[in-house]
Amino acid sequence: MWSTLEHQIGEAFRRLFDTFLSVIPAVLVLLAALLTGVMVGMLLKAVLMGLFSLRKKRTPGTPATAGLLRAAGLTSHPERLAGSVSFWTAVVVALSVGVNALEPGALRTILLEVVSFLPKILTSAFLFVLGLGLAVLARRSVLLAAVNAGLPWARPGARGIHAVIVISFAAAALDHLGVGRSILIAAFCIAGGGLVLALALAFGLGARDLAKAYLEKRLRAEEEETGIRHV
Amino acid sequence: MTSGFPSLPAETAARIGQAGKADILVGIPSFNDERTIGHVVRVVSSSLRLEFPQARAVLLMSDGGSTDRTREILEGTDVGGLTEIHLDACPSRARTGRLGSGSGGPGKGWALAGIFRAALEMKVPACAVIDGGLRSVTGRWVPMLLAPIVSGSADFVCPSYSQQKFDGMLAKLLVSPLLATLYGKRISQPLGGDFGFAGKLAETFLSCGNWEGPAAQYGVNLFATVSVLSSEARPVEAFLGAKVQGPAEPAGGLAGVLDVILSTLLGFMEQSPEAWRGVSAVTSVPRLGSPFGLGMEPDPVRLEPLAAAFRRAAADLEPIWKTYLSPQSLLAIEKAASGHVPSLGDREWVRIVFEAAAGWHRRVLRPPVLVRSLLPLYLGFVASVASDLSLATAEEAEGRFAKLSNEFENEKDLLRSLWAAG
Repeated sequence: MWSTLEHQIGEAFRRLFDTFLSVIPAVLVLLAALLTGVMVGMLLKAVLMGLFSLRKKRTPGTPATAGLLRAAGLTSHPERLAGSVSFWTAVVVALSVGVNALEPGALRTILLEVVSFLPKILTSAFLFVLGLGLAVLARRSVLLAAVNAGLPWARPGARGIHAVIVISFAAAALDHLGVGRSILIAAFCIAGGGLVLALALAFGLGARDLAKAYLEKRLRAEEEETGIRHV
Repeated sequence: MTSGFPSLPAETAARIGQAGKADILVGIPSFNDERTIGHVVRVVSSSLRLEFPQARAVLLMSDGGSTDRTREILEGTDVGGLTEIHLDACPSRARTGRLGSGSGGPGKGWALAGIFRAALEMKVPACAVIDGGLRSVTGRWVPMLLAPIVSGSADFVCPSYSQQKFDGMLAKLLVSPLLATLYGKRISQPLGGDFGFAGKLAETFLSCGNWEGPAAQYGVNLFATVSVLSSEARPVEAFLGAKVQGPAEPAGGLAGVLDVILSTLLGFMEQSPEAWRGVSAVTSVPRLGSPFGLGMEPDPVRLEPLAAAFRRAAADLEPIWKTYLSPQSLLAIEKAASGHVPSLGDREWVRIVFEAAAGWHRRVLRPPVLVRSLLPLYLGFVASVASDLSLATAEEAEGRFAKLSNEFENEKDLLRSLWAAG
């Protein structure tokens, strides 16, 4: 009995060892793909940086995209960011190719799922960063326009716009990832519809007189004469 | 160089050919000026005949796309035998809004551009521009603007007017001191719509390209002035007397004008840094004529709308300001906003303007956003100065504006370092 048990345990360990051995080519393939991806990524990054510096020499000054990136909280230069994005894109593509080259099996299936999710994560992150940038730009514009027009709700209004844009883009990013899609859509419809209805009721019925008085005051203020000629 | 402005219409080009060689060209730009245009044309034409009887003078009436009776009046006004050319300077694509985004359509800028284009085509040695929207033009203006050019003693004649102490505050508190600091030449009316120029400068003026919309005139005038001040051209300043304008602008309507003016000025700084970085000495340009006051009580001023705009902004705009203003400036703004009337000092204002210029250069914000965020600060400074000068005489006020200009000029190293840090 002991000899049978010993034999079976030995067989199990041999199979485990064989399985580990069979994974080694896959690991080597993945390492080779990763290495290729890193090299191609570095090459792409160098080419992009070169192109950017050439463009900078021809048209000096800060590009418009820098403002959007800064607004989104990304303080690095656009050329560095583009370099990093191109590098990581090359690595992800190379990994995908590497995983596809593996022998069919559980490992390949798991890795394929992980790798196929990476582009979605990248796109969602891009969407979210774009939303952050646009939200900051919109908040500034609304804040300035409201302050210069003398509106009392300048800061809360600007924050509201900022929040709406960030939430919209965050929802789009989550939707792209496939996270809680149906809940997101329902929540969005309820919140958006409710907000519009609440504003319509509040401003149209509850504060009709206030709205009228406010608009009249604003129109008069536009014509306000200070006696100072600026031009 | 001249690609920004379309060619002259065929009939105008033919008329220019018929007119032949001219010694003097006086252009009258107009845009919806039906109330004043007839008077301006009559005064200018009689003055031309009287002051330059021997010269071959051409009167160019250039309209920027008026929709009132301006063109009808222009065609019906007798110019006493002078050679006259009528130019419809606004291209049809500007009228129909086919110029693309950002186009403001018809405006006086087109009319000015048409005058520069005609001056270039005609190769006229001496030219002058007199705004068709003036009520106060006199026969004296034509020789004052033209004589230095005709005699060859100057290439550009800037206007100088008698004004009430709180007129032209944008020029007094911002544009004139900044121009003196940058280019080392003090002029009092960089935004004046009336000026004389040597015909050879027309090509430079045409490279401006910002012709659209009613506000374009400020950009075009300023572009012409800056291009002269930053070059080897010889400017002089001619005192023309009183300038009567329309009603004062409401505080809220300034944003567009400030946008055009600062974009023009800062764009020039960025385009040709070598033209201002090395300039240290500042001199006044030669003055012609003897300035005299208006001899009338100034209009009463109301500072509360300006102070309120400044306080509102101080409460809400700090997140925007801190992208380009130093903590020192933010503290000064906070202090200034704490009083009933803002009390922003000259030094603080100069620092704010220089930091804004550097911020514009670094593109920390989109240019229109930055300029609009500067508007309440300007209004706060206007309120500070107007409060200080409420009891001052016109001479005392002039002294105060000169002191501000000196403050700007003395701080030029700060501007250089802030700009270089970008």
